[in-house]
Amino acid sequence: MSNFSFKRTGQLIKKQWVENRRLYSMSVLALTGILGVTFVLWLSMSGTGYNEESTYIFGLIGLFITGAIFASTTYNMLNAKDTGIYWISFPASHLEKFLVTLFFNVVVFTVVYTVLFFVLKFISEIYINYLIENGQRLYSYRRVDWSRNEGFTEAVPVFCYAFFVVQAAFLLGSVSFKRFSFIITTIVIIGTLFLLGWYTFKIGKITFGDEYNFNPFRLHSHYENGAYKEYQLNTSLKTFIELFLKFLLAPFLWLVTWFKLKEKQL
Amino acid sequence: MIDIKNLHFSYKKKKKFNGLSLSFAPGHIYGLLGKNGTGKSTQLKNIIGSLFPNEGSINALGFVPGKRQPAFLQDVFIVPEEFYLPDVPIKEFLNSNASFYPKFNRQQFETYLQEFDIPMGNRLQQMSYGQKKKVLISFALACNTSILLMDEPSNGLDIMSKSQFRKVIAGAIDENKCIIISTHQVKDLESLIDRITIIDEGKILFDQNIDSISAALSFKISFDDEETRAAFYKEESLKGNAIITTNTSDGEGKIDLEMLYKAVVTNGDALNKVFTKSANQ
Repeated sequence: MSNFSFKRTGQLIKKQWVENRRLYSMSVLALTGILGVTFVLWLSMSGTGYNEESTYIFGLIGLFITGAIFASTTYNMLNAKDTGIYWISFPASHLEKFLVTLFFNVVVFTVVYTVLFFVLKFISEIYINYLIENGQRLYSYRRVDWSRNEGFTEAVPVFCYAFFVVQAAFLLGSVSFKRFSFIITTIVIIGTLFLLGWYTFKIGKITFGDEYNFNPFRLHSHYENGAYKEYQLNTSLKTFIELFLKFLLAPFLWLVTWFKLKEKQL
Repeated sequence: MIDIKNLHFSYKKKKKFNGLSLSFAPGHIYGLLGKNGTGKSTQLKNIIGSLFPNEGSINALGFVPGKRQPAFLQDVFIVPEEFYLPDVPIKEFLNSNASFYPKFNRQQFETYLQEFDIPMGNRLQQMSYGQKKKVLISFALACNTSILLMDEPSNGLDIMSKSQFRKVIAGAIDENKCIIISTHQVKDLESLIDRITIIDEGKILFDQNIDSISAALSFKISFDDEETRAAFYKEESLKGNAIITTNTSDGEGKIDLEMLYKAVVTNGDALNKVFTKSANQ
């Protein structure tokens, strides 16, 4: 018998839904409430000039925070003997069990959050349009121009890539840390980013002195006459790092999570 | 069916097994007895693959349990001492779980539930601990897995349920199944198990089948001082001295598991010599 079966994975998804649908329904209600309150606060605190960009900003922040919390609770079952044995001894492979958690974390959560966000945004826009139509042009609503690829619109895809990486990191954290996985993972991520930034900064300072200006892929060493010497990473190495961060870092963390699940003992 | 060879296992610094070797064959109900913390549950967890041996090997149904392959897991079931059941009605639990066990028999499950007097319509988390345990035991038996591991299964069951438990277990065994029951409540397993393994500090103190025990030992009440002094184990009672002696008759008597357990713990070497002698004769 193979360690992977589509049929069994489908049955496992059904089982996960049946056994957790109360929890999921409550979570959707809570998420609706949080997003709803945020939209109401935005509507009441924006004065007369509404900016669509700010909805995306708090929407993305909410996506990061709630996604991280949801991911960090994924393997709570493995933290107790009774639920852990139930999970481990269930007749499905680790790959199937892991794919089911990915399905609920990456697909279901993201889709549910996005749908809720856009539904509430749509309702808010109906209210804004009503205000504009009935407010003698006192109110305004500035929409995001997606055709311009700069500033916020340029940053959105980066946030999306980062979301999957952050979520994958919290998923790994939920297998690695028995207690307080959300807090510990947050500390580890912040600590890692800080150390990486500090190390890069130190290396740059030692090499280029005070003229060092931080850029992930390019360094300038300035001369007195305004000229500067530019150091760049090799193009293929730069491309690889970009591709790794965008598309491979999250799968890499998933892979580590899967290995950790296989090694889990209870 | 299950072969444990030279099993070494420790929890960080606390050693549980130091070269344990044991075999379990189909068609038997094994009783794994021992004090709390002697490694009974650890042994079951090693068999199901939720713990990995530090050294040695376990072969169960031709699989290495630690790999946790679906083909292995669907033919083995564990009823742990601390167990979990999701917050769903029994019917939904059945619908979402039974399909993972190819030999699951719904009719059998319903019969066991009736025996335990549990209505099908109940929601699992609204039941008492004992009722939930009965549902889990019924499900475990209806899965018809080749290996069934039970850790302190009679804990939390009332007196009536304990006898129902013995009845359903006795009816569930066949030549293709192996049931291993770990417990320290030895009385609950009397007349149920057909091989007794007593472990302590990770070592096997005693491992014999019921027939050999009945043939080799006699459990009786004695008023004879000489006989009492020569006994492997004695306990004063209102009716006289309850003793274990060598069985000199041809017949096989009833075994008092609790007394046997105490005899093994207090005078195991002398007791084991009786079986060594019988084997050599």
